[in-house]
Amino acid sequence: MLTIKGIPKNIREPLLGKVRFSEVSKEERRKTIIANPNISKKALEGYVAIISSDTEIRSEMKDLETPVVYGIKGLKILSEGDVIEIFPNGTINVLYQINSRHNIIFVTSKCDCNCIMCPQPVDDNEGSLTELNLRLISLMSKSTEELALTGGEPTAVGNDLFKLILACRDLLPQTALLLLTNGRRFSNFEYTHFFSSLRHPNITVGIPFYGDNNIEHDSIMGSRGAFDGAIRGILNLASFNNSIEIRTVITRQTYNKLLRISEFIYRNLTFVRHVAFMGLETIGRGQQNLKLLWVEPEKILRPLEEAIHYLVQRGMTTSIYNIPLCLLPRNLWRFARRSISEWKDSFDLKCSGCSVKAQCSGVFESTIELFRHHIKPVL
Amino acid sequence: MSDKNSHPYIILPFDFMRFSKDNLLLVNLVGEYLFVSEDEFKKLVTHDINRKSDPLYFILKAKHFITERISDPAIELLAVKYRTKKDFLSHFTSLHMVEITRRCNQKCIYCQVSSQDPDKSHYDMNIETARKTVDLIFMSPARSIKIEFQGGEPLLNYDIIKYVIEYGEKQASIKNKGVEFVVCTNLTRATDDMLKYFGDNNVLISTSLDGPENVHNFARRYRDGTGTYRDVINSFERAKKYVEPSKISALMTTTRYSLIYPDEIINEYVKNEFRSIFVRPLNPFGYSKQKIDEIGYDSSEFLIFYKEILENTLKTNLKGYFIEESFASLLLTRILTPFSTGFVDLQFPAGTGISGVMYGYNGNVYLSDEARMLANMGDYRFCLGNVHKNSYRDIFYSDTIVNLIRDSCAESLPGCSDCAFQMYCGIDPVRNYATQNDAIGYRPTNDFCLINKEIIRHLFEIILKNDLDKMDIFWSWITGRNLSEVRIKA
Repeated sequence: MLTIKGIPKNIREPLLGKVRFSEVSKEERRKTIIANPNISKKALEGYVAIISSDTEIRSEMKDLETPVVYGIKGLKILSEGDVIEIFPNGTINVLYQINSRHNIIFVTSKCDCNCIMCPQPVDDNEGSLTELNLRLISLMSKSTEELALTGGEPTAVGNDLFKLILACRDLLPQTALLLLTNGRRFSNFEYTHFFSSLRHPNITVGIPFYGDNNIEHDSIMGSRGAFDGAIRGILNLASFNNSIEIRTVITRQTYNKLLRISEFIYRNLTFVRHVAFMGLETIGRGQQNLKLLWVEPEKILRPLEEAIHYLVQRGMTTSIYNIPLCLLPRNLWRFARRSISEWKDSFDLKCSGCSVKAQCSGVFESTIELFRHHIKPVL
Repeated sequence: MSDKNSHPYIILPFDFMRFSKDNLLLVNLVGEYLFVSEDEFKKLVTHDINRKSDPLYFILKAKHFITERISDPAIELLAVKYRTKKDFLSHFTSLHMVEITRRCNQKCIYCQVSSQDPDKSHYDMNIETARKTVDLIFMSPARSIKIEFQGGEPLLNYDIIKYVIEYGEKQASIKNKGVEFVVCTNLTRATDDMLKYFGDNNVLISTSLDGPENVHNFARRYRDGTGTYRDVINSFERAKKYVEPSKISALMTTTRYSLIYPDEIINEYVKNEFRSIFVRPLNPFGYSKQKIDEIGYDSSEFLIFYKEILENTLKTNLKGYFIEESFASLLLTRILTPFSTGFVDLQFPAGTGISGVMYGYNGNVYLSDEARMLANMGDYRFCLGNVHKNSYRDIFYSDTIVNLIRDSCAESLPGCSDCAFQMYCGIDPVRNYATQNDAIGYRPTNDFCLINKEIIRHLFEIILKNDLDKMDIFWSWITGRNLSEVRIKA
């Protein structure tokens, strides 16, 4: 998550609001955090907070009761319409970027799996984030194209997930949702029935697949029963005609099984909408287990090409995420997506002269060191 | 079987055959296949494949040949796949063939329908019979209905075709069903008005083209004995003005004379811009010895020809012209995909009556086209009733259908029950009766069985070799896309 920091004043609890750079109506102020205001003291009343890049607090704000964060470096990364959360210590988390195509709702840190490459630490003692997320959804722009519900395991919050989906359905009717889940909870037919009855017009369920059998999949997911649960979940989801995407992270464990995984998907789960093969993100457990997970990018090309060809032959839709174009043979470029969130995305100095940089996913900031020897500009 | 099996894994149902010196072919009950060596096979069946040391273990497991537990979702996946493969059963009769007239302006040398002179109009279906036929058709529970106009030459009774289309569309919209029409015509009497009407009403045209002029005219002649080739080509050219090319297809019936022209036949199809060719062997039933000597051949001769023509078709595709051999395409769909195909000849239980049914010009309802031919010869055992006299229930719940379907499940048929190709093949009990005097039939001398088995085996040989070009072409046929779309070459 993108984070900036400043000097706090009058902040007693976390505050959430939509960033604006110019004055708004009294009604709107309850939801608005105004940035770098250049207006009279009276006009500053009623905002959630004021944020400023000024190194000193301005005189007209001094005796104001409105929370203020000043001395912020990097305030210019914010755009009108972003949603931020301000903490009493002056930290500002950017929860929503209006100009990004990679916005998420972080549903929970809880999870019933423990994947060896998971970028996100599990926290089973975390309090509920649902109220915050509902407010966040209410502050997002209706023109948001896509939104991912992620975690942790979003279904770990049970019915609260349904509240979030309903809020998205009602407040963001144009927004496509992607629910990233291990799929196990959907092995409960009633849960799947409830989920499906929400009738969100555009939601895809993205489920990871690390093997064509329970033994290999479960060992990567760090949990017995993960495969069986996911299979039953997918069958239940399919019985209600839900849109399903299968996601396979390419690691040393999976890279030479991509074809087998594709075969299994085609023969058993032909109805899935999309199959994505994803480059590894090396933070969290992905970093801790790097030695176990890392495979030289050159080695994955042949198996990846075979798997993609297998799926394309059969008319299935497939994509490659998180692998820069210069590492892929040209015939795979059309499958590569610009999949990395802007704030995680990184390019090497070498990339500045690259002719296809604008179409490239780049690499995860966390992974750039590992890729440095492999990437080269396409001229 | 139980979870407390002393063996490390449970073997799920599959059939197998020795495929070559080195290979056995295993096919499970949903049509997934695997080639294994004899040694691997022995280990498999003696529960001796080691999970830790043998990568075959996971391949067998993923393809659902083995499982550790009966509670495994493998069983649920198999159930889903089995339902998918047998999906044709859930719709009941969707193909309805209607003999619009028994009259024909041609007298082809292989015709088994005792066709009548073009001037004998009492062999036409009349409007009352047509209406009752359509009423019966739309009592089928199938959600989409296909009505095929047959003959004789159906265009000789064009008004009734139009009537069935118009009345059929009306019934379809009342009953909220889809309906599709196909006219099976030799095209020689097709006027521009007719072709325009077919184009405007999305009627598919299924015609016959046996090859270049000499091959075609050898078999397909007017009643005076002159060849029909030029008129067919002329009509076909005109048809292209009104009907989308993808909506015109042709059957190619193989005579002894065709056997030496595999190249010329494909070239003729390409020249006329067909996108598919359906190579069919003669249906040998009902011919005299003399006739068989004149036009017939052994199934082995047909198979050599079929393989040559398949090879030529593949080469033509590789050169950049899309043309599929429809029979291979059907079989490949059954072998390589999880889906079911709607082809009446390739299903267990038999498609007779429950997938396809034939209505005679006089309102008689027959189990199939061949059942109609038998009736013409005086044997009415596969006639189910008449649209004027009998109800839907009388006809489609008749003992004739029930008994025949019961006796056509591959799982219990001698010669089919242990055949590795069972999931890809089908049965036609009426044909068995007609050719072998027994609806169950006797496989070792059954041409239908010999030909299907060898074609399936031949396709598996190509699959085993895994030639990338050929596999890409196969997938372009199965998915109906151009070769470039199934490839990922830049």
